[in-house]
Amino acid sequence: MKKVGPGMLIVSAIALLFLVAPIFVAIPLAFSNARTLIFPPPGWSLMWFEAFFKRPDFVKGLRISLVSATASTILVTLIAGITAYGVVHMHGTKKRLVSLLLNVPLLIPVLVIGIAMLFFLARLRLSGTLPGLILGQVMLCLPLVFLIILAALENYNPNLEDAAASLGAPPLLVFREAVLPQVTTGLAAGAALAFITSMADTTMSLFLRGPGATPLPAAMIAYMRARIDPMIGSSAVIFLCISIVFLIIINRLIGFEAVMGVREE
Amino acid sequence: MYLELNHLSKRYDNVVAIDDVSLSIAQGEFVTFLGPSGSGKSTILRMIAGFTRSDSGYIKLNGELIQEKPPYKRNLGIVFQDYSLFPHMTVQQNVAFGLRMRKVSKEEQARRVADALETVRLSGYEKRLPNQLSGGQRQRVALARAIVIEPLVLLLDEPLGALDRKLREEMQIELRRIHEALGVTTIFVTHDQEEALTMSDRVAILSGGQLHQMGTPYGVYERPATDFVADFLGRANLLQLAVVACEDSLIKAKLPGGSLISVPAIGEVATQDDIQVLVRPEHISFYPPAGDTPCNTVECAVERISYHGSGAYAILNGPGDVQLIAYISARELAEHGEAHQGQRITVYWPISASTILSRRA
Repeated sequence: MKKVGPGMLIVSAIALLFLVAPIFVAIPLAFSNARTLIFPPPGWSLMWFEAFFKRPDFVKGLRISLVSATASTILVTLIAGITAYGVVHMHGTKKRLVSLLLNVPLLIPVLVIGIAMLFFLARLRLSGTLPGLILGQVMLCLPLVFLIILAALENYNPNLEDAAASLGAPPLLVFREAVLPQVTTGLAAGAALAFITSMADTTMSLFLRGPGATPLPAAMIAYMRARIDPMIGSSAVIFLCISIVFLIIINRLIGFEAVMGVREE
Repeated sequence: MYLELNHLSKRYDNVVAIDDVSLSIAQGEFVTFLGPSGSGKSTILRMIAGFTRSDSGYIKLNGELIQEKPPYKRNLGIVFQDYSLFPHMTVQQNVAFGLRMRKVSKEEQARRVADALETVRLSGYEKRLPNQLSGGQRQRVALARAIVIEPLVLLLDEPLGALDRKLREEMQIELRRIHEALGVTTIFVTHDQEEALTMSDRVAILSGGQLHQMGTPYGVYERPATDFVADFLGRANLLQLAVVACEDSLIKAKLPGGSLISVPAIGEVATQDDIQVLVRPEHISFYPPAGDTPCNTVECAVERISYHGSGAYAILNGPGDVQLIAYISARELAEHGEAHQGQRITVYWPISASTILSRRA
């Protein structure tokens, strides 16, 4: 490993502070006993968690968020995985063209995609429904997840498929023995990103929400229009817990280092 | 024959990759496909393996047409250029892979893997992962993985390309030793002519998707069929001559500068024809050969001498801007002293050491 100079250390420390500091403000707020946003909180209580779970729109929103994020994660990981698998077998101009086209949505503001999705789903009579919301989140995550999986497949060796076949593995076994072990890490990293992006998405949700399809972030925005209180903090902590639980599951399945792109040398 | 390729052709878009290649290989033979990159040698190997289909022609292995057989049913051992070891499997698991696919019992797997690793001299590395091995060791694992399934043919796709020179030479000897120990029919693909000549029973020389010649190393080097083969294998003097007289066994022909040369007659050559003749640098000498071997002689000026340790290459200017390369062995240098630049000199080569080449369109 390269030696890190003091200047680099200071810059890294400041960057980390900026990234992490808001979390350390939000978490104490969640346990505040005040009725308004006061920092630091005057005392501690779980009243805002209780209030959170007493609101039917939040509980329902949380359930919808979980359902839609899970569904879109599965869909996005499958679609992006199959696409990336195809792209690593391509060469030259074709490969660059396909990768480029799949990245174009990243250049378009989510707001614009949201409006477009709204009209598109209206045509399909899916606006304001759960399938509509899931489709929107798939649309939102696809280019990101494709990029992550493609990057993870950079070292994919298609020759291993030929090697397995030449050693007597029929197509299904080639897939299990030579393809899957090479792609699971990338797929898991993609799935983690898809789940967290879908859960946290607010912009798209605001366009696609409807009765029976209002995810938690959209419900929170609606609530915050009327008042701002430590409930925001408690929702943030609940979100954080879900993300952590999800990452733990992924870690159990395939290892945390692999997902975060950290490899032991 | 054991393995027969019959009139194989393949086009990609409008580029001819393989152009009507036919050849046959006997059981137990060690054959090399030699050619520059893009010559089609790897494509033919992939056709035999079943990864690439030919547009026309057929392949027969052990009396059976294998054109329609998928790769996993062909029972061929392949060593890939990048070894293509399974990175998530240990050496043991890599080598056992083919046996596992064949549902061989655990005990027999263990026994045969141990045998294969012993053959490639890599016993004791069973628990290692491929990324914990050196290039040469990975090479041996790939080889063990290919031979453990007792393949009908062993296909080696430029397996030594990634190794440094010393390791290469070591593995060349290893490969021959393993071939002799197992007697498995082997096809070796390389672009290295020296490697092809030292290792093979027979060499097939390919260029532009065509098979130019197939023969023993001595045969293809000394009696190349085409100017490409002559030029690709080692250094070559390719002389453009005009025929002036045809006798029973000798052709008299003229260099552009007017010197008269004699060449052993092959095929149909008539007076006035232009012919191309090969003379290898090592047959050209500064000194007349002992005895009364009939010789050609040409007056030259020494342009440059490049010293190679075991001998020296002399670049010579003959009459009419003909350039010749002569290889002077260290022994000759020691006996006759060094030549120097600009020196006028007469060079000699035995008439029998010149070969008329046919040219391919």
